[in-house]
Amino acid sequence: MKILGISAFYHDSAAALVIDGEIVAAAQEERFTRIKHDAAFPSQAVRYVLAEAGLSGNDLDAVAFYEKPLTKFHRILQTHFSVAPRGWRSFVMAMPLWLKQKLWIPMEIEAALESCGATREIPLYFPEHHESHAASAFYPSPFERAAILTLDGVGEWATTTIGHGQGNDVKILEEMRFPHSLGLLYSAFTYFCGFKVNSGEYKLMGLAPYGEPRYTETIYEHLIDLKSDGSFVLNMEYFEYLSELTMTGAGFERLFGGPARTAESELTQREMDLARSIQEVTEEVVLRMARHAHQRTGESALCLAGGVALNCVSNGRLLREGPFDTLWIQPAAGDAGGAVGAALCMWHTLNDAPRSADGIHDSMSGAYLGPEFSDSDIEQFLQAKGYPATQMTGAEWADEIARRVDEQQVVGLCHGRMEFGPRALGNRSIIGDARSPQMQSVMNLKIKYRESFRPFAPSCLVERVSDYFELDEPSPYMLLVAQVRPDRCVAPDESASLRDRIHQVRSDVPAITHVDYSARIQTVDRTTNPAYYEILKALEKRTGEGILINTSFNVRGEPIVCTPEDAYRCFMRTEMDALVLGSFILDKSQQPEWDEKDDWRNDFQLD
Amino acid sequence: MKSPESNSSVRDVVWPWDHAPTAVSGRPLWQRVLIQMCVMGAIAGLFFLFDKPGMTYFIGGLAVIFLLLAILAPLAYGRKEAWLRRFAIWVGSALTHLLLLPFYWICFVPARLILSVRRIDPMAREFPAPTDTCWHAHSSRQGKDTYKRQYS
Amino acid sequence: MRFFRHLLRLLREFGLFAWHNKAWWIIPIVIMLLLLSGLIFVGQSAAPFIYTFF
Repeated sequence: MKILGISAFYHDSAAALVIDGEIVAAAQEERFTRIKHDAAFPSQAVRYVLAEAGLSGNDLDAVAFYEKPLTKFHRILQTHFSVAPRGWRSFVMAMPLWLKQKLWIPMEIEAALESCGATREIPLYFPEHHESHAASAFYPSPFERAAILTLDGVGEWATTTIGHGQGNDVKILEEMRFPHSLGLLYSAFTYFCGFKVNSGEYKLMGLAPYGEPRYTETIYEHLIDLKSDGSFVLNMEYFEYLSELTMTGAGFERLFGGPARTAESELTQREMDLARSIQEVTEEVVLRMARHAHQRTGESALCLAGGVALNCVSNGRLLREGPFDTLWIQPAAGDAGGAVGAALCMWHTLNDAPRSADGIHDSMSGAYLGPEFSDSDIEQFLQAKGYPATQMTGAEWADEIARRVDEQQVVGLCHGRMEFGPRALGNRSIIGDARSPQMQSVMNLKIKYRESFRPFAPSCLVERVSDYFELDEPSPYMLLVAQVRPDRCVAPDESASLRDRIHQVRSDVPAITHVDYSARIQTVDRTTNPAYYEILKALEKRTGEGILINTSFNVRGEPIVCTPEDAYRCFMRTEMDALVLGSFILDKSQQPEWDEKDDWRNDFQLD
Repeated sequence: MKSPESNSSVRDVVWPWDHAPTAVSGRPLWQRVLIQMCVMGAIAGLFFLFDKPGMTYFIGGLAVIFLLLAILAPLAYGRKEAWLRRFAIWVGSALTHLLLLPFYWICFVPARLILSVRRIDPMAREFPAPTDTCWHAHSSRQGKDTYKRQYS
Repeated sequence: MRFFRHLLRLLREFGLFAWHNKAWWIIPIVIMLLLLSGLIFVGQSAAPFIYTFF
């Protein structure tokens, strides 16, 4: 049975194809349209996933959309009933989109499938938003049975759910309802600290270690009534998202001593303290919810999904201090992953098919579910464009990349299948030497053109993870944060300013050590990504260290590159030294002059 | 590393770099000018029929100016079109406000008043929460058919 | 033709929604909004990123 999963119309539209329970392909629309967080109907992603399996629209047995639009519309009308006459601005903004687009999802899907060759009506299904998240968390997980926790902004009404997965069955047991949402609480602080909602949450998490939890008590006292079982209500007097097109208002400003930070202005200690405070509150809420989920289900494993599950600091703490022995987090935990979840949910619901789980391996294929391009395609492109490159294979290829990293070059990698989800896991990545004290600044300012406080994540050989970090289990999706081992760390100068603190050497892998000695870890194993593993092995052979910096292959505001052409463009626009396209290695110094008439930075809105 | 076989259908969908660029959508200039002349001619004709020679000459004159602009300075004609498009968006936006705002006031404000009088808050905003827990039982599914619905 | 087929489906689903949830108030509101929608203009192709109304 072939099922197409679709998520669309909020942010990060995506399509996924599941054939007989196996995830064959999945991709976000932004990678093809080159519009970050593209929310439009994922026509190109649909065309891609069908092409990957060699199918036309007619071959599909079912289409699953990741939420129930009419229930969501009902919630929006109810919200306006509750706040009128305030809320007229958001009503006038939102209604045209609903009336012209979002209430017509079956028609949109039908038209998209027709353009892919469908000549008959394909049955259409609508699991709930959090059911899709729960399915995306449990079905691909390695567990035969597990508790499930889904946390995000809001779906239809639910903002958080606790579920139970057993065999091929997922049951949602309890939910928390809008407007009381951990995702929206975190987003409110993201907004107040001058970052964009739905994309700046990562920055707030990265900023937290620079601050002190000075506002934690204020948050508990005024903003959130947190119960012992992790459920809570928010004090809506302080939040504006029910009625306005902002997250916070005057109440928040009074509480935290001044107006919200304007975007791109200088960060102050207040924002850092706010980031640290809300991070602590978030971790506490997640821990309590996890304990409650453990009590409700009695399981020893937990599966996580929803946007809040991308908070890897909280995930790390949950693993260390929580009641569960083991965790599995859907790598595309945000709404894009809903496409996978919806399709899997319908596969198991419609077929009641048995599901096998060995307790070790998941079925996400390392999140390498996107398109890949053959060497012959790449060679044709390079020859046609006149871009000089050297072709290498096997150990020679990995040695050459390792040599360049060892020589402090910054290398772009575009090979194999593109990753699904927000993280680049070695196939659409920029890599550099983790031992270099300068590499964080070089990467931030010369390659990524982004804020200098933002940390970089390491990729390391799975068998050596405990040599570097206080972690002794795989973290293949970069969704766990752990401390760098104390014997690798050096004491910091506490009196230094923020600027100086960023550049202090804290360990013998300084480029990936955050100010609090933490790191967001990706472990690499030979089975899941042999090519990337070989690069790390070659680096280990050369330097003794099987670890490097891994950051996504894009600049600030740009979606991660998809095709070799996207990769080459990004390579030439930045100060990267070398580019790997399949088995071809391109040296910057040998490339023809890159001539662009306009400032390419205008192509991307800052995120 | 091992290179995959070329999957031409994926490449054609995702990365058609060697295909001829598809024509930019939209009509060519002469068609756009022709349509505009027809529309303006029809409006001028209507004014003529209703015995409004002033407006007929005004619209007709404007049409001649646009025609000359298209022939002599196509770039300027393009700018005029872009300006008109912006104007149309503004009119559309104003119309949307004009329709939705009264609807909001007629429909939602009285509903809010009724809810307030009856002390019903669909958003459950009481703070602190009056109960020991804020978890709600999830209503369980009743059959596969519920998935065919766009509502729960 | 396609539009009317989907319009009928949408109205039917709203009717069933009202029946299941005893939310009869939604019927006149939806009909009014759908009538207005012919004249309404969509200024943006995608939702803004914040906010819970999209």
